[in-house]
Amino acid sequence: MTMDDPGLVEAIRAGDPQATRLLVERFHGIVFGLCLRMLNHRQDAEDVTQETFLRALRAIFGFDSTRPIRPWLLEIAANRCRTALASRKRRPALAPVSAAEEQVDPRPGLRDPDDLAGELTWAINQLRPEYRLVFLLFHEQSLSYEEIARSVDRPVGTVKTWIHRARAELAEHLARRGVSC
Amino acid sequence: MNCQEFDEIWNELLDAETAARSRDDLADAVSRAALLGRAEAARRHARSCPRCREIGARNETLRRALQSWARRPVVSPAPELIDRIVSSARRPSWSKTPLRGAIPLAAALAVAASLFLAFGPIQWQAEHPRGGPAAERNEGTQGGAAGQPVRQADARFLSNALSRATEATWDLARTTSGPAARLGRQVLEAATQSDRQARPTPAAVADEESKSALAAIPSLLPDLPASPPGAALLQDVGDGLAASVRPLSATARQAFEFLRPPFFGKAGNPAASSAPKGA
Repeated sequence: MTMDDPGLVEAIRAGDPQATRLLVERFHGIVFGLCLRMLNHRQDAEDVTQETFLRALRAIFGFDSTRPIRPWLLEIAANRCRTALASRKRRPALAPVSAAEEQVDPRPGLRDPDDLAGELTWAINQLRPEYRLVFLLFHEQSLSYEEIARSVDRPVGTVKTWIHRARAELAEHLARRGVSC
Repeated sequence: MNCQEFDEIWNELLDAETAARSRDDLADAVSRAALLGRAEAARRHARSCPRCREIGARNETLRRALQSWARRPVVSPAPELIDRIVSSARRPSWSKTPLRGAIPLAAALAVAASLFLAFGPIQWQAEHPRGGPAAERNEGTQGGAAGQPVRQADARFLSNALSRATEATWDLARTTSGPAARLGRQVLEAATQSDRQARPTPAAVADEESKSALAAIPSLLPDLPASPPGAALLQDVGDGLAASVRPLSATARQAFEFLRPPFFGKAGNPAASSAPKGA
């Protein structure tokens, strides 16, 4: 079943269960990817992904169907990730069950200066949470500055500043690691 | 161009590259041309500015890394995540919280409830101990009961020990104060009797040993001047105290310390002047 965003929203409001499944199938990968990058924990990312969709379905009647769904879902996911990170700070640190569960990128050669993508992934994980979030929303999810500003509830100028600072930190990190082109 | 403009151009280049990757259609040609012109100006500035030359090199590395990063394989969620989300969406709203957080909470509540049930009655028994003999009789039946914590036995032991100590205290009090109480009563009776003889009768003495001690003393009394009724009894009691006559206990001795000779030696006391030496 193919359906554009406004039609999908209307079908969900009408109580069509297939529409709900279609919504999840279409966007769960994107939402999970953001949550995984933010939380760096697979199980936490799945929990937050589930919570994101549940909140979206509860708020579907208040959503402006003329807007695209993806930025709206990512906005909810961003808020849920911030909440999860805040609660994680308050919890005592627990040892991971296994290293395999915690490892986000299982590719060999992580932190290898010749592995540009791996090095950048590691550097992104070192960014402070607010910088990491806006960087991912822009460079990975391709949201505009305005959409990102609405997601994080900050002015557009602040979002631009955060992204520019994140880039500068990433560039400096790569230089310190000896990565050059 | 200055260094700040150099930094701004680089951010525009990185923005444009990301935007171009996300769009299927070609970017605006005019914008791209303008941006390319500014990029060339930035390169010329970097040739003469060491700081911007280094920043430019770093940004070039970052740009290549972003391109490589965009091509990395995507980490997919578990296949059952879709079913899990859809099924949770169908449940009532109160049960839609992730189970992972509810299970530890339920376990903690179960542990707290079991501790309360286990130690609540024990605390009650410790604050309200049962009678000593009854508790000791029941101890055998309750002892070894499955699941009885060690604290319950400790509370019972404490209450039994307390009751035994109380009983011993009462026994001690009765033992030491009985003779003293009888003696005191007799002193009062002798003091109130107007037709009593000066010398104490055997009946005024508490026990046999006191009687014998007092019987030895009367040989001295004929030398003494006449004294009021009761005063002789007091005199004999005082003599007995001074001689540490048994079985008067330390308690009784302490209770009637005022009858000892130093009391009678005080000025103004007629009995004191007639006290025999050594009394």
